[in-house]
Amino acid sequence: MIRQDARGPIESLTVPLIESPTMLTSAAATTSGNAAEGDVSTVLVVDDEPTARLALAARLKRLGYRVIQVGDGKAGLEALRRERPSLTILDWMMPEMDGPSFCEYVRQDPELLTSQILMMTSHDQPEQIAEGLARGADDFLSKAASKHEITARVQAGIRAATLVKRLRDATEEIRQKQEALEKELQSAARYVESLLPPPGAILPGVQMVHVYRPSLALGGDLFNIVPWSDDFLGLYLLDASGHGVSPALRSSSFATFLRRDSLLRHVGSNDPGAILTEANKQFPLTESGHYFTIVFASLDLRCHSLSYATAGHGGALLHRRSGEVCWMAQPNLPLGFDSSTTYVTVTLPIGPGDRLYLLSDGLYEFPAASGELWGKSRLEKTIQALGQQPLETVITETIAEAVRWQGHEQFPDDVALMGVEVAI
Amino acid sequence: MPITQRAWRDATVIHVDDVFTYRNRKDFSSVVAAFRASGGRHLIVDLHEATYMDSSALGLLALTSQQLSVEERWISLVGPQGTVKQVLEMANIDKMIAVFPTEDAAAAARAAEWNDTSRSGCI
Repeated sequence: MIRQDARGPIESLTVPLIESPTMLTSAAATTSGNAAEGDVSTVLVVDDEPTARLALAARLKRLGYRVIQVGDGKAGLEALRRERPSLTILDWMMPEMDGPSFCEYVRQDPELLTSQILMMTSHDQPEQIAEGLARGADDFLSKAASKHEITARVQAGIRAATLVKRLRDATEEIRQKQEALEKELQSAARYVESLLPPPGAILPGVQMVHVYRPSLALGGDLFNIVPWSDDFLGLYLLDASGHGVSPALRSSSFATFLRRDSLLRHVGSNDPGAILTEANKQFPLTESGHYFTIVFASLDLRCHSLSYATAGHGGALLHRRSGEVCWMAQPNLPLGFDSSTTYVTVTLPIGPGDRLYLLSDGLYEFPAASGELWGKSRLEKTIQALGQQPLETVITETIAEAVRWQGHEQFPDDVALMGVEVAI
Repeated sequence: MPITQRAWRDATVIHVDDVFTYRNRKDFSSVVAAFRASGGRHLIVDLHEATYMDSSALGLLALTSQQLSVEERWISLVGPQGTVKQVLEMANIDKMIAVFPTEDAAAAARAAEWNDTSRSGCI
């Protein structure tokens, strides 16, 4: 088929293999699968010398390739962009745009840069070959090459183009799968965040504000409230070891166990120590050694008391209205380390203006650029310095101070901070 | 290599250099598996040169302790410093795994324990 357009004559032709039996076999191998699928490889020939171009095109057609011919570099680029051939055979010396300039242009174009280019010229000195390769050609072929060498070089170029295409297709497939996976993760993250309590009044006279910043799309930290009655409230913050999907799933499972109905059924008590002692039996170490730390507190407005128990969790502090800070850590193991552990409840008085902060270790075990950890001491001083400013301000400014310390927004571990203020 | 091992007296000593995190937990697990297959009785984890330990590594130590306890073998931690010491203390790991200042102290304590249990006929 011959067609004509504004850029000059372009011949596009598919010819069956008719050369020697050897070539028939070789060419069939080069375009393996193509013939069966009816997808014949296309070769673009860019040469300003009509005789050489026509001779090469004829040879390629006999090998079974679809051939496109153009007479200069500029038309070659247009054909390359339009036709996306498997291989471009390019003359070095051409008017306006020579072969090496053509190669440089192609290698700088994101859409074309993986094109396979075979430079063909009478310049076959080693220095010239090196220059051609350095400027973007994939292979070199002397104009004096035998027909067998030409055939072999073309086949090698087509083979490389096939591999590049496979790699590009595989990359695109991975990208699509990654995109689908990220959508799934975002959906799961929205579910996990839906488990968190809404901020605001959690009991008459009791306000709660929180921040939740997982290090990945999904985090292993989780916190919530357990409404025991109109003036009696459970609060917890748990931290599943590890990052990503697995700890998020384990935390969700644990959160289900910590629902009011479940606790009444499994534990039969709202005592924090009893709850953690039972949870320790229900959630042993996983096969890969993953576990939970947790603080569980019960706020009793009738008795103005705060009862709590912790399991390997150091992130709980009481900031009294007087300014005194009391860390609520207890010397005991995380859940699952020892099934015989009994977790003990500690009770403190609590009064108007006192604030309870439950937090994950990700809020104090992170380094500055120097490697120095922020630590509990700096966290405590920050909260103390913010004093009795509105609870929301304290929460926001504490995170901001932590971000200033590490020098960037992204924490290396999940970060959760829940603040609770008792007003009555 | 942050995780290496050597035989020392009647124990296998794992040296953790630099950081001990989820990134090298497989190396640690491989050494523990080899120790369990060897029939050895005392595993010493030397943390003198360890600079950081994450929750994943802590869980691995706990899991190893549980496994060795069932098999009537011992695990000892030796020489935690700085941040590693703080992480172990926060998790109260000494309630589960004995912590010693030196390998000699760990070996002596286990030898005494071994003699006691042998005399009482428990093992």
